[in-house]
Amino acid sequence: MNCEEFEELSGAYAIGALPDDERLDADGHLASCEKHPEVAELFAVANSLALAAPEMEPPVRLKARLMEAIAESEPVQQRSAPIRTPRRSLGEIISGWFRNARLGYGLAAAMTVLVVGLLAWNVSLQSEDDSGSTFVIQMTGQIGGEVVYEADQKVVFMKLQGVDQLPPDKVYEVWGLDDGRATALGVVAPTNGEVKAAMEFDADTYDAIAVTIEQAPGVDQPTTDPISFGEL
Amino acid sequence: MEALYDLLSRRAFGLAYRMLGETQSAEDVVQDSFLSIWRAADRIDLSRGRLQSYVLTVVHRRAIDVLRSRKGSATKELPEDMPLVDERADVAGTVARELDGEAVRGALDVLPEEQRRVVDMAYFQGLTHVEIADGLGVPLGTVKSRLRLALDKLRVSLSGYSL
Repeated sequence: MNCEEFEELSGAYAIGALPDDERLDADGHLASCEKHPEVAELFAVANSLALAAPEMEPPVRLKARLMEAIAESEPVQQRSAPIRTPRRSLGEIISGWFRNARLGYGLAAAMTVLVVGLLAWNVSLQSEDDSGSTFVIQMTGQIGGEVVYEADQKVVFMKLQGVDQLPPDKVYEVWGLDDGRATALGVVAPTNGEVKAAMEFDADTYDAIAVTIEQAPGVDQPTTDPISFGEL
Repeated sequence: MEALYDLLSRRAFGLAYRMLGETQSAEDVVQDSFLSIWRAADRIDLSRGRLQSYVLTVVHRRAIDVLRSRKGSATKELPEDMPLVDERADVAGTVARELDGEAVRGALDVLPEEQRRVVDMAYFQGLTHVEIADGLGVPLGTVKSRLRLALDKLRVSLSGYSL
């Protein structure tokens, strides 16, 4: 799909009137093209149409049904790999690791360089850390970046660059891959074009990590091709 | 979740009922939507947008699924006895509602009839652009352009609001 074709479809795309095959094509174009900033506004306008429906008091029994269903249901995080919302920035995380490795001297001034140069830094860190438990995975594809895997803690710290905002009904979903089988690790969102996230990850279980664009709030199995991919 | 339901259930149910036209399906959609939101609570980054917008997006998509599963169903008529709630009486809201239903309905009202109609068929009836073209007997390109023009005009009409 080229830009002209996308523009022609953009109204139908934003309001959700495309068949699945065209929608996926449009998703793919939007993820790789920066020439359609107005589409986010079209999505916002389309979403606002929900407010045109008059409010209605639902039957009282509905709340009771919902609460009963919740009581009988296990939340996802208790039966699959959970995602942790990062409580610290990647910089803070790296800062903590450096302190742990007694390499904190002068860190603040060097932080920008360190984040950009994670791979080189990793070699340095591993030379200080005899356990050799920290690895950097290069992410390639439409979106590039690095994923730092901390084997001792079985956690990855993901940093992706050049990540566009998605329409409200779409999310970036992260997957652990094991011989082609995908397990949802969580959903991430960019801030100022960057994704920084931490999530549990076990290299004994997965041999690769991938990111796809999916319908919000996320799906159990990927439905689109990865836009970012890295192998251990 | 109970607080979230109390806050947004009237909006959610109103949207589902508007799209599906009968109570049982609307109940099922609202229940499924809130249940999926609860199950995915740890994966939802609510900083991405307003909570109300997110919940209504989920409800809309699930209602679309129901509509599209109704094979060969005719375009539904809006029920005449649909109970309305005075939106100005909403005192539940701690969620900002700078843009309200009255503003959106007002913006829809000033659209040309042919544009308002394709918006209704696409958003509230869940029809694809191909189905709309077939239903109206107009070229597909006409539907595409009407949808884009309609959204552009709505964007202008609502430009004074926080979308």
